[in-house]
Amino acid sequence: MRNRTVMNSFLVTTILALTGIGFADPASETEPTQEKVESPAEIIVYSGRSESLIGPALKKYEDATGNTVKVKYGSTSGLTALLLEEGGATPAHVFIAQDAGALGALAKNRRLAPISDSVLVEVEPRFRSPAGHWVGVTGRARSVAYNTNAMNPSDMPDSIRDFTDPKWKGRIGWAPGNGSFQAFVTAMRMRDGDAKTEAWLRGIMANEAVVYPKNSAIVRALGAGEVDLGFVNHYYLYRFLSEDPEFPVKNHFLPNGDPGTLVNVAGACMPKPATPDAARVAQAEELIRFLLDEEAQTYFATTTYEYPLAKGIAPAMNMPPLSSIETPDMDLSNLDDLEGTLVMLRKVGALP
Amino acid sequence: MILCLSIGLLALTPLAYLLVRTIGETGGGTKTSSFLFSLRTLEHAGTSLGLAAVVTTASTLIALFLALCTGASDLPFRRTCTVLVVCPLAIPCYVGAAVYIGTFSPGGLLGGASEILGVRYGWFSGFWASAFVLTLFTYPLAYLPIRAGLSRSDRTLLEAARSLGHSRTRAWVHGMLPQIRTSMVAGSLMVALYTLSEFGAVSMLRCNTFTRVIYLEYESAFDRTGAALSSLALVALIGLILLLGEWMRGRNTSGQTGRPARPCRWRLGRWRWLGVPGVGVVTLLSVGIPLTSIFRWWGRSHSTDPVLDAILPALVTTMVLAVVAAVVVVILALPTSMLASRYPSKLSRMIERITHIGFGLPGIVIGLALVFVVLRFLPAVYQTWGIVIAGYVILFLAQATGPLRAGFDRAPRPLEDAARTLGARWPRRLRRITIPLLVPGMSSAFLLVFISTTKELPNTLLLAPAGSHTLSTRIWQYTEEAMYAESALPALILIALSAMMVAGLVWREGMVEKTA
Repeated sequence: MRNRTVMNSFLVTTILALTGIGFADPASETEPTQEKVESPAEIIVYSGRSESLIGPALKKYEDATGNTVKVKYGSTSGLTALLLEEGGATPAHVFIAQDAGALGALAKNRRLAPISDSVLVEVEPRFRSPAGHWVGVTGRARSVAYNTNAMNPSDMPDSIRDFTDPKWKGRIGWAPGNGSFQAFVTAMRMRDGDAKTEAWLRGIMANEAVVYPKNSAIVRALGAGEVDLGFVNHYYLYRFLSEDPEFPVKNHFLPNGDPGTLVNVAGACMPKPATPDAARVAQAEELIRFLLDEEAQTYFATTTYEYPLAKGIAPAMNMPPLSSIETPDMDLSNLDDLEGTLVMLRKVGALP
Repeated sequence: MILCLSIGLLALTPLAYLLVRTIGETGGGTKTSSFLFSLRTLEHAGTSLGLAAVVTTASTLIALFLALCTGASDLPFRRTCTVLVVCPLAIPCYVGAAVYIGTFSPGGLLGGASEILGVRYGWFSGFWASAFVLTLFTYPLAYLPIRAGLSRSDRTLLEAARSLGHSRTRAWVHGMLPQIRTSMVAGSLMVALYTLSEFGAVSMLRCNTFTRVIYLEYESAFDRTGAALSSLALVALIGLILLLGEWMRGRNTSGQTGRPARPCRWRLGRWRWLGVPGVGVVTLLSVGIPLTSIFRWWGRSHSTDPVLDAILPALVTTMVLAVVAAVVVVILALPTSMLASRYPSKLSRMIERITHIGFGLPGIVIGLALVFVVLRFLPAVYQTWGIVIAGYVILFLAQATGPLRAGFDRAPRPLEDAARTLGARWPRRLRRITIPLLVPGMSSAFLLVFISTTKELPNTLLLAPAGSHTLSTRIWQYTEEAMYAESALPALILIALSAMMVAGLVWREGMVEKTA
């Protein structure tokens, strides 16, 4: 009897070992690549941007350099949690995140290696980390999108703060669970203070703003006439417009550095391995530099409709130039104080 | 025994991780006390338990009705009906939720109804909408064990009760219900635990269960301590539900007689056509409407070629992964279910309970726990499919344990002992008695784990090696970008794959029934 149990446990260990090692290859070989220095190299990327948006750009990089890129796609937050859990053992050379808050959180936890100045200078200082831990690749502006059948731009107030007026009751769509929206609230807290921001949130809730899970759902709802206006990122609209030029929705950018016009970034960073590895850093920087080159930047501008952040590249679709959008003057790294924003959103009942 | 303990240990990994995360962090203590006593926590606990209660009750009733119709009556088209009522299992809840949100919004299948009723758009959300969607797509988890229980039941007791002058209903309650109670409770337990761990549908429908809160905590605050605390509270709820299940199961009343059971089969007479619309309504809501909507999405997609390129490798990965995961989970569940069935003790019950924790926890917690453990103790396995499969084992061990345990109950020791006294050696006993009796349980365990694996998302997303894709990560990717047209094809393939497995199993069982 005893013999049998010993044999059983031996069997299971073997099975476990087999599943661990034997099944490493249905799709790919994925040994950590620290030791490979020779080119062509294999670069591991964690991407919080979806494959449909960033995949083609990475393909261009592979074609141009002969290197292979292995990507792990996920949500920005899920991958940020994963990177924090992995610590120095992470196999990722580069992490591409959807918002500056996640990049700021990683930097605060000292999980990022600094990027060389030669890469950083491609981008205006307001769209990168002051300490050089991350760099913006594309920009997304907050805007007030509206249904053109339901209202005119002249009906728009001067500031997002004015949407607490009862005349907007039942006409607003928002997504309090969305990261970009929360970044905007964080910006508002930094500008107007907590008391005013909280009062604003309560005012919007009193106006029975309709809750949507995310920005794209708001824009879709605007097109269908479910609500008259919504707090969104600027670029979703252009995707709908490219499919249907008659789509009855427009963006409005609030003037005077309003927090409702915050420009946030999707950016790249280099997670720090436990032991410094110069070759790995060089490869990672090469990839980041490629994302800031004209070819990739033009690609982003024309397919994702975001603002290219490298100097001298124009946006697509007759969008107003980035310089004409009056963003609030602030350090995007500080948008990582989401904890306070979440506490506030919960307090007013906008979040569970 | 050692084997069972080590499997139990594997299943305990997430719990250990959560404890380390909560206790290890600075300020964990103050956070804990303020967390435990906050109104918010109580509210989420209430929502989670309430949703689990409603979904479980509704699912069990529907499952019981359908199981009686398809398994114990002379309903026409029984085999077809059986396949149809199991099919919703193949549809991931998040797809179901997306379908129903789309159906009731303008331009949707039933968008007109919203307009006529004059209700506000977006009314289909919250607690009751979540309960509706979850019930529609989880009742098969209860249906399968009840159906299996019915086919093992014996009508002798029922007939005895009738001959003693009891009414039909009374005879059924006293003669039949106790026979299927164990499988009913086991099925309900799976529904309840699944409801606790479900993320996709409740977040789309904005119902604030613990699992949604845990995701929101990871999502917006990168707050691993807070999320770990919420998860621990969720573990407590899981424990509560498991205890409740044990209390309801009561003493084992399966009453094995050793001779072939004579399953009951009612003649419905002129009522027989009434069962058909019953099955029809459920099928329409849980299969008909979703499939119609997905086909409508598909109709809107413009290009198919690049999508196909992306889907074929994902399909292959999904199938290989699901088959391997199902085999590994079934093999690992064998010793624990044998222990639970043949050597019932405090320890075996404890191990069984522990394997259930994984099924009730959100996938992201399991994923992060494995990252934590593997990087510390087995770094070579990291970023391989092995760790993904380990995640499936923790998640779905409980799903395999149920049917396997029922299988072992059918092959009790006395039967083997009898064979031994007749001079049969163990290979022969295994071949002629134990394995044939175990096969139905093993195949339904395989089926359940296979389908669950193909649908699983958070754990796969977190642990799969870089550069790989499964059908469900593809669907997630497209719906994430609101590219519903593109998501339709992988969703249809995923559903077809699971539906084929379901049909195969039902067909096989039908053959067994005929030859028996």
